[in-house]
Amino acid sequence: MSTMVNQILFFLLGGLLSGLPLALLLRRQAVRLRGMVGKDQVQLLERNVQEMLAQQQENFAAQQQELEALRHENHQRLEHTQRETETVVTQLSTKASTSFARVLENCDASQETIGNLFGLMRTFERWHDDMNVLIQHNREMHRKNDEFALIVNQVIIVALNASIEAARAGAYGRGFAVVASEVRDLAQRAEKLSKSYRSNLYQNDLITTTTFQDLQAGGKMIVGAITGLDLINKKTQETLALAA
Amino acid sequence: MLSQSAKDGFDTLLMQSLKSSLTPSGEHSEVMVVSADEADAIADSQIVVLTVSSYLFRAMVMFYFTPNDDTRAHFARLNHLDAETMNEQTFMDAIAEGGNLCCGILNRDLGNFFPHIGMSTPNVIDKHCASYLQKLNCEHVQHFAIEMPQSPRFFVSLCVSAYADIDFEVDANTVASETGELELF
Repeated sequence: MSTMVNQILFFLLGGLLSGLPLALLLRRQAVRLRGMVGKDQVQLLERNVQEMLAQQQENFAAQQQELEALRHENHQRLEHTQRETETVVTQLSTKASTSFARVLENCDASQETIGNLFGLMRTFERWHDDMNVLIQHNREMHRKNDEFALIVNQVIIVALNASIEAARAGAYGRGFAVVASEVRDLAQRAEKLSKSYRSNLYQNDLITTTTFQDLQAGGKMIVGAITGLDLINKKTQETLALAA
Repeated sequence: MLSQSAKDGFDTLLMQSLKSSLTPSGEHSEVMVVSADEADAIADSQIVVLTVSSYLFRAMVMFYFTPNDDTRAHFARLNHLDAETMNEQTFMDAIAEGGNLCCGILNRDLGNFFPHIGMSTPNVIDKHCASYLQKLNCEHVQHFAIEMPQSPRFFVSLCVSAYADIDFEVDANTVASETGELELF
């Protein structure tokens, strides 16, 4: 009897021991099955995904069209801008050519004026010649004044001699002595005048020479300035010729 | 209208140009400022006068000389010529050329301060004319003497008239280094 009970117990225990993991396994499977979606759900999901995909494709196509339109618009704008730029460049080029031509024209005009200004040298040369004539004239006046001074000295000596002769003649010579004295006074005044004239001639030499030299030096200064201007203008012409 | 610095500048440049132009090669010379009294007593008979001009000023330089054997010998040495072969015209030309050379140097150096400047040709006038320098109404008058062992003592007068305020400074050391030598007094 006890054996039988034991067998039953063993059997029950065995069943219990083997059934327990099985039960746990079943339970786990049940939980897993609950987590799994159904076929309908999968189909629904698939439809949703397809719809979404279709929607995305539509959106993509729309965006692509939009982009294409944008690209086209930009292309047209670019072409427009290019045309405008070309127009501006052409206008600028035309203006530049006009300005260039004007600058060249002005340079040529300046060159002509500069060439004419060099003609001033003739004026300076004339002044120089005039100065030489004036200096020569002053020298001649010096020479004449020196001769005049010699004559005056001679007159003084003659007057002195006349005074001596008048004194020798005694009472008969008194009238002649008065005349001799008058002549001597006149000669002395003439001598004073001659010295003053000589002094004026020296002043005249100094002032005339320095004034004409100032004119001559000023003339060279002007010619130097014109030469500088001429060089600058010619360089500008050369630069423009290279740029053309 | 001429600043003291400008007056000194004119003096320095002229002294330097005198030294450069009137000293025969290989000889030593000294240029010095002399008083007006000493200038009044100058015994020379003639003057070579030159003008360096700008629209701002004019500077007249007068070289006193006597056409005698000593002067002839000096200018013969200066121009490497034989004094015996120099006729009257060559002699006078050599004196005028000496003044011309001196003022040419002055003109060149003043060109560093005044862009537009010109120089006259030389003329010879009588020494008596120097008694009337005050008639030129110059603001600055200075007299110099240049001494060389084998030559007579030459005198030079500088008269500067200014027509604007003029102020410039000559660096004597720079001038000296550019020209090789310059003695200052």
